[in-house]
Amino acid sequence: MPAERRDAGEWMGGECLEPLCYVGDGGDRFFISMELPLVEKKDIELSFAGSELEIRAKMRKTLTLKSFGAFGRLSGFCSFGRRIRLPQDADPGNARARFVKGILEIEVPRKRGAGLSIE
Amino acid sequence: MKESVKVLETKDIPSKERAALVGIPDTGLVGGISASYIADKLGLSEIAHLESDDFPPVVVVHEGRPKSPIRVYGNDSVMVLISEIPLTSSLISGVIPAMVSWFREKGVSMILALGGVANPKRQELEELSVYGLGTDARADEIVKKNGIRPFEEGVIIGPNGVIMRECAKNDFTCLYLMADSYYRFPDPGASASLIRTLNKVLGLDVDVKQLLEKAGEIKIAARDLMKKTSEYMSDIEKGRLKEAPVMYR
Repeated sequence: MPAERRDAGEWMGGECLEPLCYVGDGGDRFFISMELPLVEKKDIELSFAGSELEIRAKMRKTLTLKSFGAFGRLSGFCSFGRRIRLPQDADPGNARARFVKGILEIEVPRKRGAGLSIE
Repeated sequence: MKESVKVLETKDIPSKERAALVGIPDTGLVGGISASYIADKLGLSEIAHLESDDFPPVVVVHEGRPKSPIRVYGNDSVMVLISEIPLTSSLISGVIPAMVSWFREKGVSMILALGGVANPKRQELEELSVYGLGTDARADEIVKKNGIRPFEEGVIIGPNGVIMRECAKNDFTCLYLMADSYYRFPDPGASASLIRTLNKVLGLDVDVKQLLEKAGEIKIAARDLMKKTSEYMSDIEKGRLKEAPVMYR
């Protein structure tokens, strides 16, 4: 059975953490909401490869937290990274993003189908 | 299930009148973060833990020692229960009655359930409100005396609602305190607001400076628990979730 280390920074060599992320379907658009603590706007890189969105973000300081109550010790991480596969009808070319208080919000419109006129 | 949850005391705990705080994973993990921070800052030692064959096969490891995921910390004036696992509906029905019954046996005079209330405008808020919901007139008086906003309309889903129900059923004073919070992101800022209110209610002096300074680190440390808690909240809130703003889905 698996064991999971919470002080994984040591064996990951300071590699990426996966951020908390939620994807919602708002009908004519998709919403992505992602928390990036200890990150500044200038250190976030967003890119699309087809319908896949890649997020990379560097933390402004190396993570250190002593264990308390329900939360274990953490150290050594320095960045976030995540890839999100969007549905085929997402339109990344018209996506919009904003970063407020450590939360990155991305809106990706749904592609509009070709109209059909009635003769 | 009910009888299968046991509270195992790891220290001799005399029965004494005191308050008990409860931090179970829920909205924004506000209760868990608040309870953990208070236990740490008051230097409370572990006095008991809960055990059940129905718990998921998990031990948590702290400082090189395996521990039960649901533990009680305390001193002469306060007890704090902290859960490191979200409570599914089937666990709630065993854990909550066992916890309430044990608190009563140990002389606890009031349970303060700690939590968050999801506010879709949380990102824009600088001042976070704390709401209170009590089971009896004594709790109502505390709400009134300490300038806490009464929680007058809404629905309480999950473990804190069951704590209130169990306390009401047993004529036990319970006050559920909730701070404006993110729904699915850990919220140390909401915990700080809640602790400031608790300081007034219980006459404590817990400084939240370090909680706010370390908010980013705490959010990261709480990530996995928040993710698991969100999955559980989705399961029990399917109906309600459809009414929530899209960004919180």
